[in-house]
Amino acid sequence: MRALQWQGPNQLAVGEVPDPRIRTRGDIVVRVRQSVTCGSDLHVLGGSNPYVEKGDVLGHEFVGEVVEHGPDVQRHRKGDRVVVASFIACGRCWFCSQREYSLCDNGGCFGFSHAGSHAEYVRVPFADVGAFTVPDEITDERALFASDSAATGWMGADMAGVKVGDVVAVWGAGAVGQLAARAAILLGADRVMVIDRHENRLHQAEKHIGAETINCDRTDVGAELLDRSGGRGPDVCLEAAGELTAVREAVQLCRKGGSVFVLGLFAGAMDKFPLGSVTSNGLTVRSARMHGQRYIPMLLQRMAKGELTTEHLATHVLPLTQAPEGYRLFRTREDGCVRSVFLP
Amino acid sequence: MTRILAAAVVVAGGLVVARRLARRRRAVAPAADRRWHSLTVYRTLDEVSANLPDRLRTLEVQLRSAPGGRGTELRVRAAGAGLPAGEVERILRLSRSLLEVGEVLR
Ligand SMILES: NC(=O)c1ccc[n+]([C@@H]2O[C@H](COP(=O)([O-])OP(=O)(O)OC[C@H]3O[C@@H](n4cnc5c(N)ncnc54)[C@H](O)[C@@H]3O)[C@@H](O)[C@H]2O)c1
Ligand SMILES: [Zn+2]
Ligand SMILES: [Zn+2]
Repeated sequence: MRALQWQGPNQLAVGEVPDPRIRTRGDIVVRVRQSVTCGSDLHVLGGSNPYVEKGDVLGHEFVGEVVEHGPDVQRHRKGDRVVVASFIACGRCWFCSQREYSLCDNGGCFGFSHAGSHAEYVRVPFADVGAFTVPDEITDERALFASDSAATGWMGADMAGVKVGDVVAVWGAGAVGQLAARAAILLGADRVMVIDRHENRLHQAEKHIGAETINCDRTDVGAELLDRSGGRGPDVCLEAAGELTAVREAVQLCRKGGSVFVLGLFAGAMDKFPLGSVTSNGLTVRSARMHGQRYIPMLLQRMAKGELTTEHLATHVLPLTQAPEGYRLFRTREDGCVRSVFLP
Repeated sequence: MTRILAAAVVVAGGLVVARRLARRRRAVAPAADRRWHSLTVYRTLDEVSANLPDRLRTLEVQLRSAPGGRGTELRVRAAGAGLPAGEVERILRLSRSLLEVGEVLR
């Protein structure tokens, strides 16, 4: 089958790889209908990620149709349309029992440890845990984002403890930041402000998400956030930029006793962490890779009701054969690209 | 380097990742290992002792209940001359997968 492969630092190519097949009893094989780029891939493309080897198939956010299932699979049958959590979790270890699925002792991640979804077919292990049937009324374009970015954004707002009446600031107006902002609104936040430097993304956050925006290239983010929160600072700061400067700002600008959640994926060490702010302002700082299995059923319900819409994020829809170009657009943000969606 | 990779294994959790990294590490790790290594399996003591994977039979094994309902602590070391560094941990992780999910994710 055809698939997008990482062929070395900043080298992507569509090539032929063997068709996936059922390997363990809880597997399904999915024919991919749509698969989308993610900011996390950008951390990988340059080649610094030790989990990705030459020839690996990228992609971890996808919707598709079940074509085959293993003997232990209960919840899925051939022909079902499913959306799949980007982290693979067994559902049977202690971490899964705590619903901390991305910490699973027996799991992995599509496009990193396991063949990814930028392909015609993908094998999904532990399908009863990680694959969810998509209700008929939800389009592929919407369901697709439940896989990873909507689940990540929701997790940030949820685990940071967003409450009714909160003032929330979100760094990054990519898909993850926008959907984190939407989650905060749906959880009852009073004011939600999204920070970015790309006007087209900020415009989306206003129009489709219902958030206020701050352009960090044009204004002093700190002064603006203080002013818009009556001098207190945001109750909750969600970092969805994947940038150290954004993490620092989130920690430094959060109100006393507030909560910071880091959604950006960082590997390794970080210098100049403003620990003093954490201590003297009594902050709670948390982070996690996304526990999608915990949120996807609820997200699909909200998508069906129209509370959570994502179609606007798919700014570029391309055939899989043009995936390298799709990544170029996504990486450079050229032509207003927010996410590139591939059709195998 | 070893420290960073070891941390990455813990962070990644996934067996496949661990295996990939172990493959890279093995080339530079000759010393024989006779230490005890522990890992917790989310199954009761009875279940673990009744279903001990074959791979553990060549090793010294101790079992005890983990606190707080976390399952069973599996403590293992290589018998005799020891095993190459990383091998006992690898066997422990495979054993945990077998005990928790019945097979090893590939
Ligand atoms: N925790 C998880 O499991 C998980 C899952 C998915 C994505 N992520 C991470 O979430 C982050 C966002 O993902 P995405 O797909 O939306 O990425 P993206 O690259 O499309 O968007 C990131 C946005 O952040 C903005 N930005 C950069 N620096 C900034 C700063 N200092 N202040 C304000 N905005 C800034 C960029 O302009 C960009 O619009 C990435 O780091 C990604 O790795 C984490
Ligand atoms: Zn992602
Ligand atoms: Zn698990």
